[in-house]
Amino acid sequence: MKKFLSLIVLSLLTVAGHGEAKDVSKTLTVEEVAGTFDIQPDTTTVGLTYRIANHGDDRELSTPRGKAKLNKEMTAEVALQHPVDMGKPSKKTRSAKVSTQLYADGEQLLAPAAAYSVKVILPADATKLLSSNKKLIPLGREAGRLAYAWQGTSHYLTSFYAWWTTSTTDLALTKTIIPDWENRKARVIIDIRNESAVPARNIMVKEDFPSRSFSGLTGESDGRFITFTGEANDARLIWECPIAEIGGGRQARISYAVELKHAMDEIALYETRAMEEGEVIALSEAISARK
Amino acid sequence: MKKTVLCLVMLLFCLTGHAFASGWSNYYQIAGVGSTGEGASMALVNLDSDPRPELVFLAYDAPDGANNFRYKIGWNVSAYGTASWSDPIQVAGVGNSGQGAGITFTNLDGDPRPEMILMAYDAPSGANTFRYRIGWNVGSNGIASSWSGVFYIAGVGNEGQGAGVACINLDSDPRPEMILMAYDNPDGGNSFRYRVGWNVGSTGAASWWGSVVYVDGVGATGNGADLTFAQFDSDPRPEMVLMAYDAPDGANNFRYKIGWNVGTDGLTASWSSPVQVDGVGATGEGAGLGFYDFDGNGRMDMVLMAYDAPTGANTFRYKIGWDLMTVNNFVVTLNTLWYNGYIPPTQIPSSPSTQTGPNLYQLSDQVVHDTAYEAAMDYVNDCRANPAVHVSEVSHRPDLAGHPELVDLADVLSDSDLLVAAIAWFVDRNMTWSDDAHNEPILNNTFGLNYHPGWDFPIPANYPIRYTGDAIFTSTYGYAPDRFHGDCEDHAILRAALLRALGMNPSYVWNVMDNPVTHEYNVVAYRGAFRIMDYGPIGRWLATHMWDSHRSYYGYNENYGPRYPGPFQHLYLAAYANNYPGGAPLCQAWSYLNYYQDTCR
Repeated sequence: MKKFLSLIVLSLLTVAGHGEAKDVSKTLTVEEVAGTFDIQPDTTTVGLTYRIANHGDDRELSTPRGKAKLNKEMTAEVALQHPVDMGKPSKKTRSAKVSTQLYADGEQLLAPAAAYSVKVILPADATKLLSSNKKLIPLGREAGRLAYAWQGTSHYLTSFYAWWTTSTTDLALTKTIIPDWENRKARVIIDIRNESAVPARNIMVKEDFPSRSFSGLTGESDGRFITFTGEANDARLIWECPIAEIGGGRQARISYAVELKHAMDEIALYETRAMEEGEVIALSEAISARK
Repeated sequence: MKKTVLCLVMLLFCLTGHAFASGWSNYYQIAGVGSTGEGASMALVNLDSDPRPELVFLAYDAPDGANNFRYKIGWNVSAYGTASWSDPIQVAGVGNSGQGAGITFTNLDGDPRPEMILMAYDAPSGANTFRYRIGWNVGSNGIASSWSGVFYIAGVGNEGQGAGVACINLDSDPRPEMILMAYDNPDGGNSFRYRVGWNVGSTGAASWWGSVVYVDGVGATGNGADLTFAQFDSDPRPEMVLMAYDAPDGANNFRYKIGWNVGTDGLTASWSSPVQVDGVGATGEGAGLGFYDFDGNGRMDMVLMAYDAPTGANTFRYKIGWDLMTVNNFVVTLNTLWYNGYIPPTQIPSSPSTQTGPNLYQLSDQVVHDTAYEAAMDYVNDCRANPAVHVSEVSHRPDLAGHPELVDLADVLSDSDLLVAAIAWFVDRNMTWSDDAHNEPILNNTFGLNYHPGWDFPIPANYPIRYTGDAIFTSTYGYAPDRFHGDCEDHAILRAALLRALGMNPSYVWNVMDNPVTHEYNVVAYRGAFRIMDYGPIGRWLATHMWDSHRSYYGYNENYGPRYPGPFQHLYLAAYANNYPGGAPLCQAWSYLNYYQDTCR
């Protein structure tokens, strides 16, 4: 009698779908993703086409800008729009972020793309890509606009960010660390090449460090060190070096030295920034040296 | 010998004192033993010569006609909770209808091999009865040499939704007591009801049975229940743990409560509030729990199992809560520390008194969760693209050692050490330092916020995600373009929020400062101890970069705060992050290596 009642209850639950596993990511395979992020100042969405194999029931795929139905037990191509936030422009810097979250029946899809190929095209006034959270392969210019490829295999498609400058001053920074492990010192050399034919003027080169790990060595540096002390817990060592002019096609070399304040096996430094009128127009790589 | 496992469990708890657990594994699933169950349970015991324990899962299979007990043995459970599973072993049941079942091991006769007790809460029309059988002298193959007849004990009501059995010695008589429990199901809220059979003799019969003890339940509907004993505090009396597999509409969850210091009369001094842990499905037909130190790190782990019952064949699903930890001389209950449930809506902190973990971590904002999952996914991407960078981060996993490229998302989401490594890597990779003198005007003037929290401008975790990667932020003051910006405490707040959003236990995630305050960073449970999480990848702080400002003093987290430095914040840190100054009695003197390496645990 009691067993009979429990069977009825179980049947009702099954009909209502309560017995179904909710982890939709396990039933969807993202075979391929392709699209173009055509970024313009007024862009609000970009499109991606997904080829997805559904191994489960009917699913609704969605982003904040679109929805698509995916029938059960079939592979289909689905085109969806993703939101773009163009950010607030400064005088010389622009940014865009593409939110790539994809939801299946309301749950974030946590499945890698077996293959993906996305072309990124920056606006016409972009002169140099400063930074991106993705590894972008330069494709040159397409109709005068900088273009890049973001592609690979077996990869989770996470949000895309890019920052670029509209400055016409074209600098390339190369940074080198020369560690002196025995004496707990390091010299850092920065080569700045002017890639354009016209002189670059009034450039400030800047870098900052955790002041608990490094101190600036006076007398061994171009530029100057500043110890920044914040409100309570904000201490930072800043190095900055002004450069009056680098002629067109010419290169300038500057350097500084720091003391390592404790034993380290690795010296890791952030990007060095070249700034024009207070805004970043070029970056070096973040680099490190290991014992 | 026969009480070895239970005694070992209790001894280890005695050594570790008060206890709470860190993150939970994803659930493991193994094939069940039928399509319909009317109860399930589990036991931990050592049956063979291998020192690793066996995990025994029982279901009370309910075909048409007579029921039967069916159990499977997981041999030599690994440090990760996995095992090699036997085929089902069937033993005749005790009736045609059950509303719960239990299994336990003890020693009742003079033979060194243990006895297995299988119990069902028989459910005819009218009053239920407990019915048990004893399997004598279980061999190293998991088979009893013979089985007793059925013992009948009066039940505790007419309707049950789970039951359990445990054996322990509560009085001065050397014979063990048997405790039979049912999760009674009247209209409205359920209740746990148990009876104690005193001084069980060598025949398997108790000298006498006590009256029914009533304990408030943990919900109105259960899909199983169980009990076990453990030792959580310094009082030598054991704790009784009662668990039900609560079954609301939608997903089930495990809910348990602790009965502190069970006396010689079988009654507890007090009961904790219920503690909730995410379940493993939407429908169950029995559940069980147990404790063991699977990873051998000196800290007890907790196993929760449900007999999941979809259409068709059932499955056993179990999950492990790792590393119950010591909280010395501090009165806590598990539910104040172990918080897996609902995150209340929070507000943006506008004053030091509201700068609490919940208000700063902003876990009610979806972007924090989305970003946390992105962090885990990006980490997996980087493990595949740049495996050499992550070798040390997977060294604790024999299945991944030397091969970070084999890490997948499930590994990161189910392994708290990989969670820590992932978030350390992700924040270091995507966040650039910016100073408060600029952070406040940029956020307020550019984005129209009205956020003036006072001292030290802590930025809630969703603000860097939503705003600070903007071009105006990255360029106006010459910061490097990056996804997030903020100073040291903003890095620490974001790291803590992302760890919490991925399910890391709130008690294992701290924001801490030195004294006087010069720096803020995180202290998190990593590799079995509380350790530094600061700028850079997690490994940096385990080897070099010894900062005096890592002499942790003030701490707050999602359970304890606010952020403002004060004596209570030091009390929290010293009491709960117990390998810190003032915490563990073995570590009186502060030194970098003591507190961030393995000297103090």
